[in-house]
Amino acid sequence: MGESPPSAGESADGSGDGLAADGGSAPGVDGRMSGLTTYLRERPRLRTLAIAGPPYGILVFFFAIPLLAMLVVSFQADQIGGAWTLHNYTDFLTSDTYLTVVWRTFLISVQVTAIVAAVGYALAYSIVRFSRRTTLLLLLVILPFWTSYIIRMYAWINILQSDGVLDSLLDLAGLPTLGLLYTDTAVLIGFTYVWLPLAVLPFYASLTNLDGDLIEASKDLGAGPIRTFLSVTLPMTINGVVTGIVLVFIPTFGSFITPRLLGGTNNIMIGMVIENQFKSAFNWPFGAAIGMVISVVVVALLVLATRLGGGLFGTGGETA
Amino acid sequence: MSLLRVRGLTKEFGDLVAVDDVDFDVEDGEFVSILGPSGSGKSTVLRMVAGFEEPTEGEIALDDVGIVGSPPFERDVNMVFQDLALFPHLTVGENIGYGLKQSGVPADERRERTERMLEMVRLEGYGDRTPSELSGGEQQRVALARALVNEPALVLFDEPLSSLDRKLRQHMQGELQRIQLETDTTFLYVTHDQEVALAVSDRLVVLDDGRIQQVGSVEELYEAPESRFVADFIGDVNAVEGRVTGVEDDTVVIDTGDDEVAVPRDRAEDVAVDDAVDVCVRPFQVRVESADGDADDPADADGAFSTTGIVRSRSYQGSDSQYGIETDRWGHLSAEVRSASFEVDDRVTVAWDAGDVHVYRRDGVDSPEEDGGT
Amino acid sequence: MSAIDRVTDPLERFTQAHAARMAAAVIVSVIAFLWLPIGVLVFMSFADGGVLSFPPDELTLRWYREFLTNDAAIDAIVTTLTISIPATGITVALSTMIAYAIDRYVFPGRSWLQLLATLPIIVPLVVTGVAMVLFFKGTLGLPDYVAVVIAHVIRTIPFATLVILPTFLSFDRGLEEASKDLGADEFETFRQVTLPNVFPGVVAGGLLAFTLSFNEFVYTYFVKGSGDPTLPVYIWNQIRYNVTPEVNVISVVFLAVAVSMVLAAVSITRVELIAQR
Repeated sequence: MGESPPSAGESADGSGDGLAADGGSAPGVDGRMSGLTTYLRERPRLRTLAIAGPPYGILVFFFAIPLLAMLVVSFQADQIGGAWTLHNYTDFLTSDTYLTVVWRTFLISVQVTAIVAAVGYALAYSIVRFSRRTTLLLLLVILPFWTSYIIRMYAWINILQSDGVLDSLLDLAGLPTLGLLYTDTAVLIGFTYVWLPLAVLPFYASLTNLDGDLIEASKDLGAGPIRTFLSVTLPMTINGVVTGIVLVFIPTFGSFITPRLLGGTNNIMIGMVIENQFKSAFNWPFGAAIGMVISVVVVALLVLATRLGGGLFGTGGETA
Repeated sequence: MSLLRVRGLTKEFGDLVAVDDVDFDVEDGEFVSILGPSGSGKSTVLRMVAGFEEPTEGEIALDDVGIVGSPPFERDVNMVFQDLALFPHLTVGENIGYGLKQSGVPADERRERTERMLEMVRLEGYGDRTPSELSGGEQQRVALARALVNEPALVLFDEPLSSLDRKLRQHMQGELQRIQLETDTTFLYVTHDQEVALAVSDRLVVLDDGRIQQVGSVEELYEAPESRFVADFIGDVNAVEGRVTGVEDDTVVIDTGDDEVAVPRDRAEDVAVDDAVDVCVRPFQVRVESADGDADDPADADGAFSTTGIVRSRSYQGSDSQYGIETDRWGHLSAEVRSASFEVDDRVTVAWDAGDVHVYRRDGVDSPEEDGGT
Repeated sequence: MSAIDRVTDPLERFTQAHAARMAAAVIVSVIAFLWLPIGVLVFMSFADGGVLSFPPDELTLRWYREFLTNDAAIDAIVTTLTISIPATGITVALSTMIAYAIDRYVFPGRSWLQLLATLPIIVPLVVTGVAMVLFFKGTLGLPDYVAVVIAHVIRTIPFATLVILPTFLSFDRGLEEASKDLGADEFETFRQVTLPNVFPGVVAGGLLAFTLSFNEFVYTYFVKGSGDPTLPVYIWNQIRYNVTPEVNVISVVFLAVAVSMVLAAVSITRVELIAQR
């Protein structure tokens, strides 16, 4: 990105007014706009501030500051504005129950991430390397992602509950029924189902960018498809893999909907503990402290991922 | 016994016949080029030999063993890719050693052979760099070394030099020939660039529209092209339209407009009376002389084609000059002349011997350079 | 030297020989896995007996009729729209400004802006949800409606930016120079050259933002107090306390919204834009 050219400084005003003015604009509007245009052209800093400032301010004030507020509240006793204390953390970290829940959550997240990464990568690879109708297939993969999360969970309740679709079909086939709802398996299926489309996207993007000649060169030099995959394809797409893993692990770790709807009473995950503090126990500072614990895990994972080279924040600005 | 034997090779992509019944051989130690315009099917032939495409029909034998159906990683051929396809996540040394590693060569021997290869391509000490740190020419050498280190029976080239500038390309051509001799390997080289093909090859396979046009040594193709297409593609050529008026034992009489010229029979083999033909001649065989006044039919020696014209353009090419001449009879012709010197707008006579032409029947397809000469 | 002198693992050979078939099997089975549950929902919405009877005895439109006469569900849809529509408008404006600023200007904190516009995807929803209820309600005391709209804006900005930014980045700025060279000032250039070129991306970003906002649950669940639930919250309450077949019908509504919005977004841009993250 070079220096900013002496160019249009009117995105903020232009996008709105330009739309409105399109087709039969009054000359007065144009006159006013061109006056403003000239005014801003001479003040590049003001121009940048006018465009970058509002979204910047909103993201800081309504996203970053609330996260900091959560940090502050997590050191208060019982309620917002309560006395300063470390109790929220010590209570949490010395409780076997909570630590077990954290460990459980971690294990489930690892399993979900492994399943989604394996299946999602296989799917992305199959689409990129072996299919001509990539656009249609990609669309079929991402469309379910855009339907309501709750509805997708509800679909699996329909399927997995005892006497649901799956059991009815098994019964018709003369097989024993499974009654999977409210088990760990149901939770794994539910998570796999919701995150699969999300993980396929970075896998797909990195595989598309992989030069097919490299795969042919590897085979030409005597490596079979499996060794080619391990020594060329996987190392060359590791950024996409890491990005996909992060995109699955983090929301799974913080999730409460799936275990609440598909898991049984003993399938507690850490997100459910937070939900409980806000929806029934009403101990907000304690909930905030647990939120901080999740955040620490997430930050640790992000640091690890960045070390491994996942391009998480490269949404394009630098690469153009 | 040929090292590579290709018979009846055909490849169809849906309705498109990319390669149509192609036969050719490559002998051990040869440098053979497959030459053709883009879309002629030459790369498809190469990819079938490498194993990346399966033929629809036909056979490919290496050392007398059929290799159709065997996967690329089991074939004793290595390829230098058009875009080189060097592994960006590996060092130069690891790139070169990649094939050895796949065939289970121990690390010590691998290192030693990689070093030897780096020496061969004159990149000593470059082993620890990454490919992106090298120049285009150096990357070419790495790609070559990576293919050669496995000591394959046959090395395939998919136009790897096309991205280089002219001077570097010429240098690399020389290097290719040197390395081929030193390693005593067989090269099969695909290109659309006749200059490269003529410079490096022992023999050429000319391909157009999926079919072989001619196979032969560089000299054969240049001096005795079997079709107008080959004549056009291998070097420049002037073409004059004519009609066959008589076929005798040792001559063919051709009417090119105003008069008839007898051409030796071996210069016009596949023609019959009344055929519309192209009379083709290389620019360097065209004589140009100063025309005095407005003489209409000069230099009309027996057994020669001649006309008058005006010099329209001139370009120096080292010791020769190339002239574009607008002729009175046959439209635009080009001539390469060493000694004489003419200016634009000079009036000249143009002539060439009947023994220097090649005559081809016009099929109405292969006349890309026709520009309305009467 | 023999022509085939490289000995390979039989597994490698098998993989090479059957790769295309294995790929087809993966594609078919995974896409079936993704779509079968949705098919089940649509099918069950016509089932006579409701949720707990598969296969149904009879197909019926009964649940659709009940849905249309259920004031609570209709109210939930209206509530959702009164939040999603303004939230989408605000998000589109903000995301376009972010994209424009990142594409055109170099300023201190530019990479921070990019990070901030991506982070809401990465921070777990429950964490941000907690942070928002603490700050919006506990500290600022914002009214429900305002708090929820802001939450939706924060939720949708990253996705809208993800779609809009590439259209700015891929826009050939030579066209703007040509326009100015031909005598148009910056404003005219933006209106007549820049906007028509980035417009499809902006609209696509808006459609996806709307879809996301229409579906949004976690932030809303935390930030919003009791009363007037949005449609996802309404469903959550339904399926947690009493299951009714009507939920199947609402699912079809969600599905229709998502499919039409995403297909519209894809048809005016390219599907690859949504895939590029």
